[in-house]
Order: sequence, then structure tokens, then C-alpha cells
Amino acid sequence: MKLTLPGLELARFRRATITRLALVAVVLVPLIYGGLYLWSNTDPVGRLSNLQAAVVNSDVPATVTGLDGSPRTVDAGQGLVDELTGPDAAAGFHWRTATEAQAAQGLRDGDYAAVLRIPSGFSAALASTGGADPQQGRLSVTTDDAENYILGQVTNTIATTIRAKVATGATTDYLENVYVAFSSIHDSLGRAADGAGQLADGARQADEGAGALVVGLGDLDAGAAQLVDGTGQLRSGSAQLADGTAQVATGADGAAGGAGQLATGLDRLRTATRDLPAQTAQLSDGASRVAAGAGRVADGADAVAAAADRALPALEEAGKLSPLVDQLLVQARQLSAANPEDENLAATVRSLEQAQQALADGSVTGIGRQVRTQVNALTTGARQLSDGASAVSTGAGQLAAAAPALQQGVAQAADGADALAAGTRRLATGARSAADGATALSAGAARVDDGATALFNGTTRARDGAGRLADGTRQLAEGAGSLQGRLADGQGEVPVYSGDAAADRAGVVAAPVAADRVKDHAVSRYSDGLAPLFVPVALWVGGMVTYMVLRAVSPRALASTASSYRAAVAGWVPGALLGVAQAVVLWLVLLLAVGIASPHPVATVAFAALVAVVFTAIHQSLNALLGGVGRLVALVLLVLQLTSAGGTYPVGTSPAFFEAIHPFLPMSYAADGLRHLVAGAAAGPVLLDAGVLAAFGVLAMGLTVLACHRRRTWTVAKLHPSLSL
Amino acid sequence: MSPAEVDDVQPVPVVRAQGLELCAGGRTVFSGLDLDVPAGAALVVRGPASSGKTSLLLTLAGRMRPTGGTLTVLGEPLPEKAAAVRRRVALAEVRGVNELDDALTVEQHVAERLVLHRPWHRPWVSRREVADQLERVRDALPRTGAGADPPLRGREFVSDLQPLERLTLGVVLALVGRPDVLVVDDVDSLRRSQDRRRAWAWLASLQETGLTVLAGCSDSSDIPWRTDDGRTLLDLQDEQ
Repeated sequence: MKLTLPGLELARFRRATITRLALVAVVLVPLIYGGLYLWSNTDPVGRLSNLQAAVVNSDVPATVTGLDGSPRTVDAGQGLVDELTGPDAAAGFHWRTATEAQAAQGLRDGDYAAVLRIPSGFSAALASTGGADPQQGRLSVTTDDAENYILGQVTNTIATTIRAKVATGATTDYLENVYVAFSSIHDSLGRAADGAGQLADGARQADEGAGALVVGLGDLDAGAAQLVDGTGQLRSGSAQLADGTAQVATGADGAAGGAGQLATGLDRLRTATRDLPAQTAQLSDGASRVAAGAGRVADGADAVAAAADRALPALEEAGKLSPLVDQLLVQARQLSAANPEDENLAATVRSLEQAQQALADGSVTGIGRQVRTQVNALTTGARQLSDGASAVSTGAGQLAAAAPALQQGVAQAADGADALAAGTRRLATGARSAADGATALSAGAARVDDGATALFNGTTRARDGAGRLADGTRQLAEGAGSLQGRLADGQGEVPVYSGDAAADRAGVVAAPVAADRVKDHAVSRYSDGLAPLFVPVALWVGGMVTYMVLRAVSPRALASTASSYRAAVAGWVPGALLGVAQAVVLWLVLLLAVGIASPHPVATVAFAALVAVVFTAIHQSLNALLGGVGRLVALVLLVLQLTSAGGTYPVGTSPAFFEAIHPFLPMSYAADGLRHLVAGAAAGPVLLDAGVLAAFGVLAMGLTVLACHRRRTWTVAKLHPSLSL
Repeated sequence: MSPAEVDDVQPVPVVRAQGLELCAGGRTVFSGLDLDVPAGAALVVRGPASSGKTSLLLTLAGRMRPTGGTLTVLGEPLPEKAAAVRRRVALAEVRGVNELDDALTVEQHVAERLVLHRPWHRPWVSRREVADQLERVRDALPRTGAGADPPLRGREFVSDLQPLERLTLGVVLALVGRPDVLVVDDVDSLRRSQDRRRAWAWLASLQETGLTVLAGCSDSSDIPWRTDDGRTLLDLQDEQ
């Protein structure tokens, strides 16, 4: 086996039996605490039947007359007693019948956990619930906080159970329902009348609305008739429109064709006129030059005329020369024939032949006259030509000036014709769409016309129906008005329980039996109820701690020659003084700061001091007798007392073990005495508890003396202790 | 083990033992002891550590129960009359039995012991009474050699005492109950030999007042032996 530090620590305890037991005790202490505590609280409420409770029946049976007139006896008190004490009773405690005196004494002594008192008029009260003056049957359940606080709380539940059982037996369920129903019927009628009034108002408004509807529907009908006329016209007009637009479309198509041709022609014209300005300019130049030439022709003609005038005498002379030329020619030919080689004579012969020819063709005089005529005609013609050429030149100049404008105009015309052609094409397209639309419009207009006709028929029927509606709503309004009146009448006839009367009746009916809770020596709060247990617990723990700090008995005192009694007292007195201080400080804080209330604060503190002194003596004796083991025993005793002191639930509700040890443990008496002091009960039980506690103290002191006596004898083992706790 | 040396028999023995035996935890602490200590005499029990000196002294003081043999102390048979014996046999400080409290002063120790011997209804003493007691003991312890009185100062804490002073205080407290027999363990635990000699001298002087002294030591070499001092030496051996 390996040696480890934790293992070595535990190894210290392996040497002796007592130390091994100490380890076992360490393991078992939580078990003792948790186990004992939970065991003691196994099922306190379920074990309430272990506790005795008294039922005091003072009830007198009552006689009532039933609905059929026969008398009937009601003995509810005895019935309740039988139920509580019967074999199958399940009302918490173990109930016993008792007289008033027995019950009161038993409650004071703690023999009875609670007392249930059934008053003398209980049956009479129960019987009265159906009558004119219903009364609650009043039970009373009494507990004593000086005996147990928690029980007082638990008893509330038991009282409720009993009350519910008795109430179930009464006839009140039925009456309760009836009364409740009355109220609800009354309320419902009121609400129905209100509703009917609202209905009548609404019907009247509906009537008015129906009248207005009739008038409106009449107007609607007339309008529908007009609508039918209009839609008829719409139908024919739209048909015409369709035709017209179709024609427009056709025309537009033709126009588009013409415009296209126009544009083509104008384009060609534009091409043709492109050189016109230049040509007219040339024309103008040529004309100018013609005019100038014509002028010179005229001038030449004049000169010709003048020359002719001068030539004519010459020509008349020339005619007389002809026989000479003939003689010269016959001589020139004889010479030329005599001299053939001479060229000049040949050329002169030819010229003389041409001249003889020219003179031979005519009379020169006749020719002159003809020339004169011809020259005159020439002169006249040249002059006319010159004038005409001038006029032509002038016109050609004007033409040349105008030619560019003409050319531009033609170009613009061509452009415009293009645009016109495009426009008319679009016009044609649009006209076709318009024609299509107009056709659709025409079809739609036909349907509109059909619909308008149907509308007209419908509104006619609606007008008739509205007339009937108006008749009906008028009748409804009248009926609702009369319903309201009748409901209001009915509501007045249903009874009303108002104010206190209703509350009283409801209280009695809902709870025919009341259980008054009475707490003798009531303490106000849970803390006050628990303080009697936890103050002793605190003082017990205080005593334990005291003797963890102090030594139970001084070893010097034990070794001295003084008596054991003196040694015991010497060890107890300091602890007792500390215990008194603990008790006083604890109670001062509880009373002043925590707010625990006690009607006898001084006695309470004194009693707590006594408890502390006694507990100190017990702890001292445990330490003196058992040493360190005594502290373990004190721990176990603490939980045994905590669980058996009956500080919360009565010890009777714990398993029998705790009830068995209850009388033999001091904390039972400490808790009991403090409970009586805090609750303000009689002094007797407190004095008794104090006496028992003192006896415990004396017993503890005796044990301490005995322990001292024994501890004055040493053993070898004690000289060399192997375990110090 | 056997008695080593027996001297000087007195007519009225304070301690008489025959075949005294003590066994504990399966081992024998001592056995077969025969003792006879007359009144006013001294018994010195000598032995090494763990040899049973303290156990024997406690047995003779009525504070440990012998397991065999017969024993009579002050005429009372033990263990039957142990309570009567305990009232007359006082223990000075014994380690593990009645140590002095370091947190208390000399005065407080004396007061505690005085109160223990008072009736229960007078659980207090005055400072005067404590001083008187210290004075009385001082008178009972005669001056020895060149040394001064035992220097016990009332207000001094035990933790501040010298070993000899501490031993003295233990003896002083033991004498408060006016015992017939005084038990002093480990006399030679004092370190200085002059202290040891002084301690033995005081014990011898107490003997002269009629007190019977039972003392334990491991070394008796500092004891000033005299022929007429009525000392008996008992040697205990370690049981091994």
C-alpha cells in the first residue's frame, strides 16, 4: 500500500480502538442528524389522528316544517359528532366526546390538541337557511398556542374540512342556486330590455333608411332610362364613326400614294433645275452679246445703205463701158493667143471675161436698184434685230436673276413633298388604327347599351323591393318598441336583493356553517411560535461551545487534595455564568431587535437563564464523564431533543420512538416552559418545567462529581493518551 | 525488579507495600515491589524515562489503581480507601497530570488552590490571604546555602518562571491543603546542578516539618546523602 499524506493523516487513528471509533463517529454524525430529523418529520400532518381532540356537543335538535307541511326534526350536532367519532372519520384528529369542563381542562393540560364546540342553536340555525331569516350555524374550534403553535395553524385546515362536511349535508346547495339564479335572471332581463330598446332604435333607423332607399332607387331608375337612350345613340354614333374612319383610312391611303408621286416628280424637277441658274446666266451673256452684234449689224446696214447710195451712179457709168470691155477683150485674146506663155495676159484675159460676164448678166443699173431695195430692207431688218436683241438681252438678264430663287423653291417643294408623303403615310396608318378602334368602340357601345338596358330592368325591380323593405322595417320598429316595454315590465317583477340584505343572504346561503377559530394564548407570528424550540436549541449549542473553550474540570483541581465536589463546581460555575450571559443576550436581541413578543419578558429571560445553567451542567458532565466523546454525545442528544421536543408539530405526530424519549430529555421541558411563557399561559406548567429542569441540572452535577471522582484515578493509558478530542 | 536498598525502619510506616504490581495495556509497568516508608522519611524513586516512576508515585498517592499486591498508605488500604488517601497526599506539578497554567500568575495559582479548599459558599479569596500563604510557605522553606529565598513574585506569569521557581510553585500549591505526604516527580529535570541540589535541600527541610516526601528522579547524584535523613532509594529499571 502506498503511503500518502491523506493516508498518513488517517493512519494516526489506526492505532487504537477508540480512535477508530472516532472515525466511525465522524462518518455517522451527519446520518444521525439527517436521519433522525427526517424520520421524526416523516408525516406529521398525516399522523394528526394520533392526537386526541375533544368535541363538545351543546346542540338542541330543532323541528322544522317541510314544504308538504309535515314536521321534521333536525339534529345536526349529533350528526356531526357521529361523523367525527365514527369508524370512518377522516377529520384530522382522533375526536372524542367530552363535557365542556373536561374539554377545557384537557386543552389546558395538553391532553387535547383541539376542542370543537357545537353551540346549542346549531341545528336551528341550519334549519333556518330556507326561511325568511337565515342564520349561519357557528362551530368553534379552539387550540392553545401555549401547547403548540404549528398545531393551531394545522387546525385551520381541519376546521375547514369539518365546515365543508356539514355544509354538504344541508339543503343549501339548492337554495344557493336559486338565489344566485334570481339575481342572474334579474340582471339578464335588464340587459335584454336594454337590448330590445337598442333594437327598436335600430329598426326605426332602418325604416328611415328604407324610405330613403325607395326614393333613391326611383331616381336611379329614371337615370337608368336616360342611360339606355344615351347608350342607344352611342351605339349608332359609334357605328357611323367606324364607317367614317374606315373611309378616312382609305382616303388617307390614296393621299399617301399621291403624295409619294408628287415627291418623286418634285425630286426629278429638283434634279433638272439644278443647272438652271448657270444656263440662264450664259443665256443672259449670249443675249447681251447678240444685242451688241445686232447693234453693229444695224450700224453696218446703215453703212451699206450709204455705200449703195454712192455706188449707184458708178454702176450707171459701168453700163456704158461694156462695148469697150468687149473690144479690149478681143484685142487681149489676140495678144494672149499671140503670146500664150505670158501668165499676166492669161489672168487679164480671165478678169476681162469675169468682168464681161458680170456686165453681161444684167443691167447694172437694174442691179443697183435692186441693191438699193435690198439694202433698205436690210437696214430696216438690222434695226429691228438690234431692238429685238436688246429686249431679249434684258429679258435674259431678268431670267438669270430669277433662276436661283426658282431652283431653291423647287428644292423646298421637293422636301415638303417628301414630308408630306411621310405624313400622309402615317396618317393612313393612324386612320386605319382609328378605324379599327372605332369598330371596337362600336362593339363596346353595343354591349354598354345592352348593359344599360339590363340595369334599367334591375333598378326597376330594386325599386319595387325597397318599397317592400320599407314596409317590413316599419313593422320591425313597432315590434321592437313593444318588446322593450314588455321586458322592462318583466324586470320590475323579478325581485332584487340589494345591499346588506343581499350580502347577508348570500353569506348564509354560501356558507350555512361557519367555523370560528379560537386560539387560547395566541401568539401572533411564526417566529413567536418557533422561539420556544429554537432558544433551547441555541442554548444547547451555546453550552457545547462553552465547553469546547473551557475545560469541564481543571486537572489541577482533580490532582489536588480538595474534594471532587469542589472540583466539579469550580468547572461548572464559569460555564454557567457564560450560559446566563448567552441566554440574556439572546433574549435581549430577540425581544428588542427581532421582535419576538412575550407577555412576561423578565420571567422568560430568567427561565432561559435557568435552561442555560442546566444545559451547561449537562455539557460539563458529558465532558467530564466522556471527554471528547462527550461532545459527540452532546451532538447526538441535540438532534434527539430537537426531534422529540415537539417544538414544531406535537411529538405525537412523530414516530413512536420520539414520543417515547420525549419525557426523558431536558429540552422537552425547556421548550414547554418557554412556550407557556411566550404565549402567556398560566404559571403552573412553567414552574413544573423549571423544577424538572433543575432536577436535570442536579442530576448532571452529580454525574460530574462522580466523573471527577473517577478521573482522580489515573491509568497508564491516560498518562499517555493516544487520542485527544 | 527488586528493592535495591532499604534503610532505617520506623515504627509507623506511611507507605507499606508488598508484592505491589501494575500492569496496563498488556505490559507490566512494575511488579513485586516491597516498600516500607516511615513517617517523616523520604522515598526517592530512581529510574530511566518510561520506567514507571510516575505511575508508581501516582499509585502510592492513591491516584492509580495497582493490579496486584497489597498497599497501605497512611494506614488506609488502597485502592479501597483511595479518596481518604488522596485528601492527605498532595502532588506537586506532574507532567501530564496537573500542569501549571502558563496563562495564570503565581498569585492566581495560589488563589485557585486556596478556593478549592474553601467551602462552596465562599468561592473567593482575598489578595491578602494569597500573600499570607506565600509567606507561610516561604517560612517553611528555610534558607539554603548562600541562595536567597525562593524568588516567587506573585504577579509573575508561570510561563516566565525559571525551572526551579516553577518546581517551587508546584510544591507551594501542593502544600496549600496541608498534606501529610508530598509527591514530587522529576526533581532532577532542572538543568543546573546547583538548582537540583537546592531542590533536594528544600525537600529535605520539608521532611523536617514532619512531611513525608515521595520523589522521582533519573539521577540521584546531586542528593546530599546523609545517614540520618531517613531516605530510601528505590531503583526502577526500564522493563526491557
